[in-house]
This record gives sequence, C-alpha cells and structure tokens, in this order.
Amino acid sequence: MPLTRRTFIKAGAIGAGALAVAGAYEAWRIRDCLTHATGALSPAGRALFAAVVPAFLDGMVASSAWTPDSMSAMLGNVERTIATLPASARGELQQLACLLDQGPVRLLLAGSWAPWASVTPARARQVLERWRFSGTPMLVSAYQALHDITFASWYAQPSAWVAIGYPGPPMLTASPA
Amino acid sequence: MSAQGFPDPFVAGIARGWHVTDGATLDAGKTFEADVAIVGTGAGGGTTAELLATAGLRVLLLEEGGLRSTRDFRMLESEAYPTLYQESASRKTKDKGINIMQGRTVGGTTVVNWTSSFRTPESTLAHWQSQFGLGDLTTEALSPWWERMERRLQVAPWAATPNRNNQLLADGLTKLGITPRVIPRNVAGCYNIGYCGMGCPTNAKQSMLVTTLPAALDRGAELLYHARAERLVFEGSAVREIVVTLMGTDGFERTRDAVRVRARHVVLAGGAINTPALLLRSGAPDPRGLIGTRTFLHPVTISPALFADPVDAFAGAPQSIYSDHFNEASDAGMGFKLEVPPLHPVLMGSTFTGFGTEHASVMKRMRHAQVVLALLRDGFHPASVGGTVELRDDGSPVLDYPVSSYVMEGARRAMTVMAEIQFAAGAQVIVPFHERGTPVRTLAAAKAQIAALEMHTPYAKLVSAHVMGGCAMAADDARGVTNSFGRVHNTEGLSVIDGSLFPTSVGANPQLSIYGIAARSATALAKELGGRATE
Repeated sequence: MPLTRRTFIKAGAIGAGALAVAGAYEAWRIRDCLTHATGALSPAGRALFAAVVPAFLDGMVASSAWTPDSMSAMLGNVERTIATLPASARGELQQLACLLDQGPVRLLLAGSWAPWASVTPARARQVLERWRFSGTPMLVSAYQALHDITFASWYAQPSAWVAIGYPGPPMLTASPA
Repeated sequence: MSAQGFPDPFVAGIARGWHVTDGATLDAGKTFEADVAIVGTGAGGGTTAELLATAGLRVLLLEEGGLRSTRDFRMLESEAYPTLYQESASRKTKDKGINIMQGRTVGGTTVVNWTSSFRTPESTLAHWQSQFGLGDLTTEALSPWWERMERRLQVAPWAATPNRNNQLLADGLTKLGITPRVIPRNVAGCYNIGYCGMGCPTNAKQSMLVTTLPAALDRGAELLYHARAERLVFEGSAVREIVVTLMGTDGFERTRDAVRVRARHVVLAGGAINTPALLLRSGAPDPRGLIGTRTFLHPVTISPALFADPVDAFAGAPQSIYSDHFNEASDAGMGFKLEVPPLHPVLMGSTFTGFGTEHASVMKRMRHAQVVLALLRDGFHPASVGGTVELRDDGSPVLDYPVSSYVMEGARRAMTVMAEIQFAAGAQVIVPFHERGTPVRTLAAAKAQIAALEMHTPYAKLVSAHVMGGCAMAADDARGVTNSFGRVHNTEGLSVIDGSLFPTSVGANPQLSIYGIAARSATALAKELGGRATE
C-alpha cells in the first residue's frame, strides 16, 4: 500500500487518532515536515532521522558515540539520498514525516506522544521493531523506507567501508594498446 | 579517478562533430525533424538506431536520462544509482512490495546490466506461439538475429574462472547432482573487476554506449538527451508529432512540453513501464484496454548466506554461472532461473533485512557474504498475470503489481532450493530473505523456517531487474498491443521496439531477447521506409 493519507486511514491502524490526522490535513500542505522546498531537511525531518539513525546503526556505531558533528554529517547524507528520489517518493516521505510529527499519531503508531527530539535510541529501537513486525503493511513499508534511506546513506560513504572490509573500487590503468 | 587511460567514445565522437544536444541547456520552442524518431536509447533504441542509420535514414534519438560515458564511471554506488537508474535505483511497485532496478541514461539498462546474454528459451517462444499467435517467432526464425547481435556485441561464454560468489553456486549445484552452466556475456577484454552495475569504466562491456550508439552517431544520427517524450499527438491513427519535456542536469523536469519532434515514423524504446506510460499519456488507440497490462518483472527472491572463507562478492565478473534446472513450471509450481548478484555496500546495506546489531553483524562479515538469486518466471500461468502500468497525477508511471500467492509460493520454493544449494556448498549461516527471517545454521532449520513464513509483501521481500511486457506482441488486437514486428495495432507510423513487447516474462535475462527482436523489427522497418539494404 502506498504511503498516502488515504491508505493511512484505510489501514485502520489509527483509530481515534484519525481525528487528529484529519485535523492536521491542512497543516500538511503548508508545513515542511521532512524537507524544505530547497531539498534541505527541515527541523522536523532532522529530528525524525536523528532519532532513528542511532537505532538503525547500532552495532556499527555505538549510540553513545554520536556527536553533533557526526550526526550532522550523517543527516547531510540522508538529505542527499532523499534529494535524488523522484517527486512522488519525496511527497510520500513528506506525508509520512508530517503524520509522525503529530503527537496523537506518534502516540498511536510509536506508543509515545513525546517528540522525536526526546526519543532515546533504546526507545527508537522499540518503535522500529514494532513497525517492522507490525501486521499493518503500511507501517512495515514506512519502516522499510527509513531502513533503506538510512543504510544507503551510511554505506555510500567510503569512511563506512573499513568496518565491513570493503576495499572500495580498484585502481585501474588501461593496458598499452 | 580510479580508472585511467581508457578512451571515451562519446568525448571523441562529440569532438569530431556528432550531433548531440543536451536538453538541460536547450531553449524551448525548437522543432526537430527526422525520418525516424526513436524514444529511448537502450537495447531496443540503440539497436534500432544503428540499423536505420546504416540504411541511410535520418534518425533522431530522444533520451530522458543524462549522458554519462566511460570517463564518468568511477565505480561508486553513490554516483551510479542517482545518475544511471530510474528513480535513483529505488523505483518501486505501487504497494512498495518490489524494488525495481532499471536504467535511465544514454544507453539505458545496457549501461548498468550485469552482461548476462541468453537467447529466448524455446519454451517461452512456444508459449507465445500457442497463446498469442506469434507463429513467426520461432527459434529457427530468430536464430539469425540472435547470431547477428551476438557477433555485434561479442557475446561469448565467460572463459575466465568464475568469482567465488559464482563458484559457490556451481559447487552447491554440483553437490546436488545438477550441472552448473556458464553464462554468455557481452564483453570484450573484460578486466574482471565486478562493477558492471555502475557503468563499465574500461569499455569492455559492449553496451549501447560503445557499440550501436556510436555507430549510429557516426552515420549522422542525432541524439537529444535530458529529453522526455511527454506524449504523442495523434492525427487520426497517425502520429503527428512528439511533445517533449526537457530535464535539468539534476535529472528532474525542467521545462514541460518544451520542444516538438516530427518524423515519418516513431519508434518507442523507453523500456517496459515507460513505453506503455507514454502511450497511456498520449491516449493512443487501445480498444481493448491492453496497454500497460501484463507487465512482468521476473520477481527475484534472494538467499543471503555467510561462508567461513572470504567470498568477496563485490569483485570479479558479477554473473558467470547459472542453472535452468528449475526454470520450467511444474506441478511443484512456478519455474525459476538461478544466478548470483554482486554485492556492494549500498545495495547490500539497503537490501539486507533487519537493523541495529543484527544488521551490523552481517555487514561486518560482508567479505564472507554469498547470495544466490532466483528469477521467477512470471506470466505463464493464469495465476500470474503480472502488473498494470498506471499514471500518477503528474503523468509519471507506477506499476501496480499485486504479488499473487502463486508467485509467492514460487518464491518460497526457490528460497528452499537456494538454501539447499548453499548449505551443500558449505554455507555456515543462511538468513531467509523475509522481514521475519532469522539466521539458521542447518538445512533442516532453514526448511522449517521458510515453510512457516507468511509470504505476503511487504514482509516477504522481492526485487526485480527485468521489466518486460505492457505492450505485448500478438497476432491480433484482441490479445496484444503490437504485431510481431512491434507495429502498434490500429495506428500508422508507430512501433514499439523494446522489452515491453514480450507477452510474458522471458525466462532469462532479457537483453539478448530484446536485441534479437529489435534487429528483426528494425531491419524490416528500414526496408519499408525505403532505406538502403544492409548486410
């Protein structure tokens, strides 16, 4: 199911939160929940990814090892990954981020009203597990979208390759003709 | 630069006067004219362009993607996926169940494919004959065209030692009493490095970039890239002109409906999904509503395994061993072809399931990872009708491909077979490719886990690198969109020459099937348009 407002509601996963979703309808169209028109991550988009990135990359980067600088660099990678996606995919991600920016929706889908900025890595891990194994296909797809963007953004960096033993592309010189 | 000293045919060709125009810097308002306009520059468009230009016809090629050639290919996923693939290599079916890797650049998917070159299976052609009336597409009739294109693109069985990723498939098959086969590849002087999917930096891969397109441009063909055919304008049943949207250097739309193209004949070669989408945007004659239907994907399930010794699946020719042992449908279910994919960090990191320490522990053993893939042969059974191309509000296409339980059970069976092969080859661990897959160390455990998995998207994961169908060939307009030469039924001056012609999936990596059909159709078209005889 595509990540649209309609299927979010159709999925029936929201229950009472549907009201909040409906109330937020107009707001979605004017707010930059994930990225600004320039392509830069918005504050809400940065908060969402800053919350899930340490959980996704746990085991590769200790949660305690993230610094403002390293997170900022990673969010820059995420921004570049999202910028290469077609408008339709970016639009769906924007809608997802808008939903997840609503307290009532977070309460229902992530189990907590708290904003992303205050979510601990342990709590983020629980939320991702919940979505990954959810019986609602839309939530699984949302998890998979965050999964794919995060890992693509991380492993695109040559600095991430040492830890996985990937030597990078070979050096080649044409044989003399 | 990590590859040095390799000549770039496009740099040289443009320097000596090729007619190549970048739509990203072109002013709106111009009208282009040609004998034949070809929309798309991949396997179908490239092959057609060379043959028509050689016959003396004035050819104009349109390409939505950018122009990147030898000197641009730096073997980096971070550059290749956004610049060379549709939707940054993350094109997905409507329900997000299947990720589709499809090319979008001058040269199309031939620039990024893994070079496997198979003739169309006999059983596929037999099905097309019996179900779609394509009695003229026999092995005997097509063999001369395949031979011609095999020569043109230097197709030959891979003569060097397979890399260990492929060798382990061969080992496992052999242990099970199945003879592994060697894959024919379209390469010349291959450096055996393993970066086919990011554009060949050595010119070894005989993609359209180093073969048919330079030949066509040398014969006066014109190329306009960063230019998307938005719609065909019909005058009765004939195409009056093509309205073209110009793209920016970032690959996104810049100026909609900016230029026009007029030609005696139009060939659509944008590949499956894009070609039917163009016809749908154009309101092309479609009395039976067939355009875009029966689009097939060879849905792929993979089997990730870990071995004690390094496999280094990122190095060496990506595909050199295959098996067709299971490639015919039977009472056991759907048929599937077995091969392996290369593994690079972004592809592996985003494809492998799980996160946190679970994901990291596998990534840290990347050098030990081995993967087998199964191409499920969709379209040969009433329960496998493929997908349907739809248009979004902005006119962009999306493929609605609900995965039937028939296909999913085929995937389940393939997962079991692949696990058996990998354990026979000595795998330590296998992780069934499913959101709920967990590492298993024995075949018995693998079988038990796979048998119990709930096989529905998006939990069961599928990917695709072969998009076929949507403008099926058939003897009549009740069963297909075109005739066996790709001429669109109920129209004049309009052909389809690309992978969207296939009435089912091919049952093999499709590039050579496209080249053969393209050579046959383009040769007939050249004659019809009064071109000089060639060969």
